Amino acid sequence: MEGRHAVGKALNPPIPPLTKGGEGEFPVIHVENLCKYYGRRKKVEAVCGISFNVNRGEIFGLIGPDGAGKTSIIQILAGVLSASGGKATVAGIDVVKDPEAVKGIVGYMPQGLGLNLYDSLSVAENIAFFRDLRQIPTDIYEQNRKELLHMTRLEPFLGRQARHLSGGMRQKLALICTLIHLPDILLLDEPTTGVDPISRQDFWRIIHHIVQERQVTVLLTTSYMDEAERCHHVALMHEGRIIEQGTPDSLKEKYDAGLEDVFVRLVHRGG
Amino acid sequence: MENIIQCSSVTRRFNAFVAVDNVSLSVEKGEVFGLLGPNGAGKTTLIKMMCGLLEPSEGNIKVAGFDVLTQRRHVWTHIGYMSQRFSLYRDLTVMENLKLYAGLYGVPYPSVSPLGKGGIRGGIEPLGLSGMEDRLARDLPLGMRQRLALACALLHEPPVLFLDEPTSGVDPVARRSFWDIIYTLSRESGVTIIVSTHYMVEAEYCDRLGLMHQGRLIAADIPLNLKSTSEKRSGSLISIRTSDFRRAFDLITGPFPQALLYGSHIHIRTFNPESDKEKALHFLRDAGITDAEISLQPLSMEETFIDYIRASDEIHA
Repeated sequence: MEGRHAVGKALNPPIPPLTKGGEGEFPVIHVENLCKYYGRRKKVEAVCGISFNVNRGEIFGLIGPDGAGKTSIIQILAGVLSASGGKATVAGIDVVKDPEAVKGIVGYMPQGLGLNLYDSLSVAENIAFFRDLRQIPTDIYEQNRKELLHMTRLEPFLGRQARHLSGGMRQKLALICTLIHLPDILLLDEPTTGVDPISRQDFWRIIHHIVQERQVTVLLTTSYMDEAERCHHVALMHEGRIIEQGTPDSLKEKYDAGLEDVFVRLVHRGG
Repeated sequence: MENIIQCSSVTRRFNAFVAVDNVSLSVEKGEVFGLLGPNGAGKTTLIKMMCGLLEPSEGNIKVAGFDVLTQRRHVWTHIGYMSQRFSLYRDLTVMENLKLYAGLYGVPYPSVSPLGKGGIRGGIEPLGLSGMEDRLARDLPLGMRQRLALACALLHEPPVLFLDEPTSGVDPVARRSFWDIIYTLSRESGVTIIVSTHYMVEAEYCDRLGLMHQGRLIAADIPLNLKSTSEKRSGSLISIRTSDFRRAFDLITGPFPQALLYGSHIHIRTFNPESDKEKALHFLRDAGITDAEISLQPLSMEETFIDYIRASDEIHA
């Protein structure tokens, strides 16, 4: 619910300028030595020593099982969870020092099927609610809404209450609501968990489409190892740490194995 | 081979909702049979009916020769069931849980055990629970809790084992060793295993696979046959790898509108893989993309499943 503080923020505040060419490009998301502890006396370590960069137009996947710490990282970057230490910037904004500032510029989809939706509102009403929340100009809204409804194939269900949608449809509506203000940065927490295979394929099609069209930057989490290959860059997470990162191809070549085997091997070696 | 499980035209309704829709299915003795499908596809409902925990609205089910409706008690002595939530008592220790389940199943203690002889102890060691006997179930890591639940389900040495999404949320290492145990049970002890999952990768480990979609069993076959049937229906998969994949994708959707981005690769389904490989390679080279590598890829289980769902939806539309 924290995202609602975003009301009144500018639609698309400027992103730091890019230098020419891909090399030396300013990373859109920069994380350095990030830590999060829970509990009194800082007993439980959720994540520790996390460092990675996400460049513009990149799909970056945090891959790991439940409890690996993926959600903590996404929540810190979305400005809904405070960090215990380290550095994290999103589009140049220091989210450790100023978590409120980031909420207006990112599209954040929390974990759980359609948690950002209102069950008693229809599909159309939910989308309109996010238009008002994000104060989207009519022309941008209409065009974007049409395109997203088409890609998600939710047009026939505009009048249906969110509570009567299937899991996959809910998640697609949640994605529409996250994308409706054309954010340049997307933070998606387990967007495909528990979703049927066709909805999952629709989801990836939409993500690749907006990345291809508008060079959107995407950070997402998943516990499905086979989804790693659908990202441009991955970080494998285990027990609060990143145990390896790189492009799926580079990791497969380095270890001469599939990504699940890479994970299993690294965990065995580590412990 | 004899069929140890036989479902004949099984339907289960909850008011107007059809959770399981006219499913007929047989499982051979000693098989690892997987039920693959997303949440809500009817996997759990079907498994509960096969276990005699839920009555079918229509149709009948036989397990180990007994009717699940009229001979429920006999069925129960022949099956082990591990639910999604690993029904353990969280504030009991590992050993207390095992003793409790031994009592519930009427297994004299100490007596038979999972994975070999030697009482409950004999079940603890092969399942990697040694040294954890006195720990509370709630303090165990998820992977260990899963093994304890398995040990409990195996105490009475059932010939048939039902596992409902046993590996949900478990890390790949624990999942891998869990599957080693499943194979040992199937191959060495001849246990028949019915396992549901929504992990596509895991589905490939099964001897035979039933694909579930909206309560229907839309296919049941060995994974290899499912894939080759899908290739015959919708074409083979070729994958393009190039450093300039963004531009390559924009260009290639001209001659190949069905092309899809898959991470940094481009996937194309085609009935003419060899000639289309050449065609795509030349097309990209003419556009100045010279580092493209194109290869024929085995179909993933996800791709295969999606294809079956599409075909099934066309029939039912």
